[in-house]
Amino acid sequence: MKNAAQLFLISIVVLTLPAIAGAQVYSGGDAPRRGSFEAAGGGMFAPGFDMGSMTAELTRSTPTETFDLFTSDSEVSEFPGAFIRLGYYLSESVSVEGGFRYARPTLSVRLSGDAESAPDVTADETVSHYLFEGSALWHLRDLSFASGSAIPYLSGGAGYLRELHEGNQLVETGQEYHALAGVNFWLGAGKHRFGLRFEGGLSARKKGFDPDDSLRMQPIVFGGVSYLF
Amino acid sequence: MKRGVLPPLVALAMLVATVPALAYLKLGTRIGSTTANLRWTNQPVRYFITDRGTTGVTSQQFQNAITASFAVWDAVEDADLSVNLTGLTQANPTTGDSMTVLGYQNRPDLDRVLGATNFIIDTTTGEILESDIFFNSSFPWSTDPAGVTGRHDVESIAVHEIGHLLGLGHSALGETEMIAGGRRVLGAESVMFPIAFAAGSIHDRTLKEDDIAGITDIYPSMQSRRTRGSISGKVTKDGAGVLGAHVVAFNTRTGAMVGGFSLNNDGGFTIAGLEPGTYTLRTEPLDDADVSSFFDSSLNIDVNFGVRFHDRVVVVAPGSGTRDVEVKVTPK
Repeated sequence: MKNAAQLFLISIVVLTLPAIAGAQVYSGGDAPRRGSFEAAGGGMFAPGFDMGSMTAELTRSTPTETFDLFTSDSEVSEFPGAFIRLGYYLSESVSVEGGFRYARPTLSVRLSGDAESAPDVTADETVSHYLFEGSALWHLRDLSFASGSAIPYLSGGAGYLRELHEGNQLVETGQEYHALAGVNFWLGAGKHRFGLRFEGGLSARKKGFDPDDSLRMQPIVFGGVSYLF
Repeated sequence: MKRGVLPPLVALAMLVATVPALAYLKLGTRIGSTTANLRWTNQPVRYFITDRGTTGVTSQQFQNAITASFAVWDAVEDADLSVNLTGLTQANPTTGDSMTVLGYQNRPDLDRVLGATNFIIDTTTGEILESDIFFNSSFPWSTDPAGVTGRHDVESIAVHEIGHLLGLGHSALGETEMIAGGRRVLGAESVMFPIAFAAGSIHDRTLKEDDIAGITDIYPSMQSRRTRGSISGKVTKDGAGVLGAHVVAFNTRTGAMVGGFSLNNDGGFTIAGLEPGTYTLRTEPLDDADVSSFFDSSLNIDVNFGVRFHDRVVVVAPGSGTRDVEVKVTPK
């Protein structure tokens, strides 16, 4: 069995080598290639969203009616935050990334319309938003520009959402899915080099501190630096 | 063991004065400088039913309604509580016979009282040794599944009284309006609200979150100790504690409301038995007419402040308590 396995491995290598050689066509400088790593980090921003209204209701003697004590309107603020990622190039055109995002949005609850005329108040708390994500990237080398140093890409992936309320004792988890488009501006042409990276697209989150069971779409943008090695 | 008879607890009265207020309250007895909560230590809670009906309600219908009412409390999953119907009896629901009895008594003198609960307790521990509930047969009653206009629903009133029997005091989770001779309920969100809905209503057959939190607080199960949480803190006015303020926790996700009272001169309060989540707090006073439904009249309950929302979201995590919340109110 050992010999058979060795034979199989050898045949794969022999058969694969011509294919790799055939893909090494690049219009710009020294492109990221199979086996390259890319470390990236920077800032991110996503707008806030409305989390809906809730009425504090008392049951009336009449079955179909309620007595409304007050109303609450919940929303979450913008998500300014940071991200880090580590990518691995499976080929010149395809890479996979794993990463982490962190943001500190504010959860606000507007309390109004009190039946006994309590002054309206907005109560709030700050939430720690953590996202562990994985993505696949398709680098569109044929669409490169700026003498080949700018390479657009498309990205898609999913993440595990973990959100901690103030006090760090109440944890709520959920899922995140994203589809992004971006561009890497590589600075220099060596195997080891820095670059600038910008991307934007849609992020769809489910659960976490969000009571809505359906997917909630959010536009999201990222900007940062990359290092290729 | 010191046995003591608590004064009759007027449990569900019609047209008595009250104010809009919110909260569940545990019954307690003073032991030195502390308060012991009333609870049954020996379970199951064994009870008898008087084998006697009243106009419009047969003995069998009465038994079925009482059994169903106990089952409502027994069904609270997070409460470690069990009850057992020991049997029928010819005895009246009178205190001191070592039997917990529920039955009718004709009390036309109590023309605003539908039912009431009495206790014998161990005054050194707060353990309930005996409790009796009477239903005032001078009122018209019904056990019809849909309720009958003009007749009080046995099961609804029994669920309220059995809440007392198990150690719960009155909740103020309700709104009323003044009418001739008293007040009328506009709305309530707790079975333990002291004023009954209009005759014919069957709303109080079903526990609300305030009731569930209260019974879970008194009889917490192992699971509820891990899965439910609490909020505690103090209510202050001009830096001093406020006694008797109602603090209501409103779950911003579910809309459920559970309340507590500030129970000492420092304004300290605790609201326990809460589902995990994010809450806002609403604080309001009781007025003078309402105090006796909730507190000993010798206490100096502060009602001179306006209704207020707390300006922070309060987070309740499973199995833990959020402490040191300070709710500031201002004089009217």
